[in-house]
Amino acid sequence: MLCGGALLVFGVALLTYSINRSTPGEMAQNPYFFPVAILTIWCVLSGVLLAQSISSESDSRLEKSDLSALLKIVATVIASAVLFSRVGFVLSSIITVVAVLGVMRYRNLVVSVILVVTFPVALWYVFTRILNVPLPTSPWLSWI
Amino acid sequence: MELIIAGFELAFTPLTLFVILCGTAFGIVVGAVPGIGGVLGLAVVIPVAISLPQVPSIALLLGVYCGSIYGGMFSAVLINTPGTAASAATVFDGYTMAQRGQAGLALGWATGASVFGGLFSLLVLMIAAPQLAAFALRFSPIEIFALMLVALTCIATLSRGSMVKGVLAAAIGIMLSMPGSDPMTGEVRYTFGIFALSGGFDLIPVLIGLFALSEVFERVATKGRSVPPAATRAGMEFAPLKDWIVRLPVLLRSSVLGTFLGILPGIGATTASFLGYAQAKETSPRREKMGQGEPDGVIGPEAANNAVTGGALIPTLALGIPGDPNTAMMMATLLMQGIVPGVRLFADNPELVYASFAALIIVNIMMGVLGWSMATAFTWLLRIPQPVLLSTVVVLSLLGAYTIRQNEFDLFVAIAAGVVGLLMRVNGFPLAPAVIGLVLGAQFEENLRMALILTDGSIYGFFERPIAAVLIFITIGLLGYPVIKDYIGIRRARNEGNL
Repeated sequence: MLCGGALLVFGVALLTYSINRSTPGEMAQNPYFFPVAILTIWCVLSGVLLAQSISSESDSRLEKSDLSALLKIVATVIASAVLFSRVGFVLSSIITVVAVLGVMRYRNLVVSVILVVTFPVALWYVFTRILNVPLPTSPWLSWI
Repeated sequence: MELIIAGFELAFTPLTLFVILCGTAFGIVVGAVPGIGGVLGLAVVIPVAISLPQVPSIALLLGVYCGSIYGGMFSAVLINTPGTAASAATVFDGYTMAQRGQAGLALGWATGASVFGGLFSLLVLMIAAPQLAAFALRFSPIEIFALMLVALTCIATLSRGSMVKGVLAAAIGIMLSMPGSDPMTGEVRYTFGIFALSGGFDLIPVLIGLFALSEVFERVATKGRSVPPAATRAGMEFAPLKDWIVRLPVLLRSSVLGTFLGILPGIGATTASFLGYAQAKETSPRREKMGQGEPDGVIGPEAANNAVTGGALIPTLALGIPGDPNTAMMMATLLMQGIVPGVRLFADNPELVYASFAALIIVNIMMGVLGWSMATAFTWLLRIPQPVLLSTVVVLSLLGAYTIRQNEFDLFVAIAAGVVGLLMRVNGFPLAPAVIGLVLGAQFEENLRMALILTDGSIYGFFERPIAAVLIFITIGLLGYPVIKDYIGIRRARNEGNL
């Protein structure tokens, strides 16, 4: 029900925004003609979905117990994106791999160390040296 | 003939062959590891693909695509868990053979059938795609709009889950393609004051988020900590030629079925695999043994699901209309490479098309060779822990999103798309219509508006073109059929209740 409701609210907001910006005249020349058509379908179907969900049980597969791990992994990925161009690709990737292994409670130290060290460095080498794709470098270690 | 030779010359370079080797091997591995699959495999090789020249780039994508469909059968046979949904039907007889100590033979049957199905569909692709492209050259924006409409409706209504969710997913995908400048007037729209949005969302970060990151989020949140089951240790064995000849009709029927289903948008390798199994069970002289470790139960689904690859490439290459997330992902990457799949590709750059066909032949042959040589390694590969796998996917996803435009904004677009993808997954929305909507959205709008200019703004003008009219009626039928079916079901239930 939450999903159908959220989609309906978002769809109506976008539709109102689009209609307000839509200029009268020929359909083909109006930049908002096509989005308005799609958003109308969106709103109608969200309404149908909402009505269906009121009369039936939710089919969401995400349980409350999973939310903690999910929030941790999303936060980890956001932190990795923030660090990506600030501390360089290699260092941010090392931090990312360590964090993901930590969130998933992986305990094999040997495999973890090998992965943390070799994977980001190997990727950095392939992209910068073989494929000539520049990647962000660290402000402290200019060679990676 | 000259074009075929030119295509082979372009494909037979050391770099292309090396890329095919790596791409196919990688595809087999991602296909074999349960839950990863081809789309995620394609998402993580995008940064490599866009930094390669055109032919090796296409070859890499084809290697990963075909390899992943084939690779799914390793885990189906060895651990009773299909690596991809496309190999689910292979479990029935493949794993039973493994339990009887014939795992190597089951892998051999599956490999032979996969290569046969792949090459058969390639032959159809080589014959049909140029003809279809030549025919489609006559299409005006009205026909192209109608074609895209029927493809989107097909994908939305035939995807798993409810039709309402399928069509809504397509609408979400189309709306994601709207920000940026309007294709007809140049007016900037849906940027909400964010300058980085003035060029619109780049396709690749959104696709990486929708498929790769949302997969990671879902697996961490739901089942990421599960321990993979023990794999049967097996090399690959091939049955004698006379056994293959006896089973040729099953192979051929499944290959034809798979190729045909591949051409239709929204059907995909999973349905083909089950229908391949069903047709083998229906028509095979050995049908009474199926389910008890009969090779027909392995070659039926495997020939069919691998035949989908060539079939799915027919509308993608000839019309520029991808029929599933794999081909949508490939098309988005080709667009980044400056290659526009569709009718003009065959007219303007036929060497590239034939080089793709040549690469596909090499991929299918290499698939068999690699499968044979890697068979024993799968006992180890299938034990790769989930955390190791998912941490590498996160790093590769962020790398893929960043390298397209060297832009930090795209990293956050990928993460936001990942969250949207997760919400869609957990609420039962199919991702395929959203992806096809995203890839086709801009062209869909442009063709509709150009068509309206041609008909002076009249919708009735669309029905004056026979091909467009037929396609629009098919769309109406596809949308109306489930509603009518439900209505008849309710009427019948009421009548039975009254009796």
